[in-house]
Amino acid sequence: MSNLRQQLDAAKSDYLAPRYPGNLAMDLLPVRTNRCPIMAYAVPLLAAAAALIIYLGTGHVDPSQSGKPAVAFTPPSVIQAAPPTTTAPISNDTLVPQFMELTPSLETISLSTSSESFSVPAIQLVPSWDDDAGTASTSSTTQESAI
Amino acid sequence: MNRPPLTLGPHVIPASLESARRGDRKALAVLLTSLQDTWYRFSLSLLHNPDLAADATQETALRFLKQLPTFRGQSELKTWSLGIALNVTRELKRQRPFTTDPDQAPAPIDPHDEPVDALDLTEQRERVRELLTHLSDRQREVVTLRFFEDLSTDETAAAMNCAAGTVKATLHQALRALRDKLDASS
Repeated sequence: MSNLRQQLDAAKSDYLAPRYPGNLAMDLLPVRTNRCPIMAYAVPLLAAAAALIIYLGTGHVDPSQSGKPAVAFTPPSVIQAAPPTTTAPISNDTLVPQFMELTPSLETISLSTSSESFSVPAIQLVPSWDDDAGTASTSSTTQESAI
Repeated sequence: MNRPPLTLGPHVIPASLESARRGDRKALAVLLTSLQDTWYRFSLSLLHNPDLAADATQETALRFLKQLPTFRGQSELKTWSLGIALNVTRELKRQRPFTTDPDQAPAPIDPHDEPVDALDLTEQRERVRELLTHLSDRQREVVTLRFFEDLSTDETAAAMNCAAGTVKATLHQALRALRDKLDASS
């Protein structure tokens, strides 16, 4: 064996001596937690149940927190009588249509506001088969008094 | 410290390798524990700096984990991973070319020293380490893989991603340079 070969073999043991000062597996591989798989499902379920109990226990529904828009309820206001309107004089020439002139004016209509009675002819009764012929021809008058 | 045996060939532990490729943590931990010292000493021999070598080892491990699903088993896993470590070491040397730990750097050879035959074993080791520093980076890589990691010529070529003929030529040049240095020093 040559001198060089001897020295290379001697250097090999020196080369193999160093060790990595650490643990790559611990440093680089993610550590898995030993969580029970039942707990992985139980914890969210318990949280949901607790939230549901709290929700139902309060019994209060805040419409502002629901997804639907809140409808504002306003109590009906007291309907007040409209103030008396003042009638403005209307010019007959401009506003009153032509056909309105045919209608009788207030001057031509005479309403009886007195307490004197007037007679309104009664509507003739339609003769029926049961009635007698003599009575059917009689007319009756109804006495009404104007209010 | 008991370490798992370094039987990382794809034909030796295919089941464990497949588990590691699927991301099984236990299998990956076995692989990393088995290979971390190989990566570290290889990086240390080329970088001559323990801190840099540790950084290179971690970076090698990260790339190893990332590229493991693409490993096709055409070479030994150790050879394939040393190729990753070699690339990482080269990149670190390019980034920080003059970061050599003075404690790790061998002392220069005094030509008036005693002959090699009269030196004890420790001095021989120191002398070889110093001789290796006179080699080029490529020659030192070939010598380290071929003689210290006991890779074959083809495995060395696979790790260095070059032809086997290139490895033979580079190794020949390296040994000749070492002999010349040794003759000159003695």
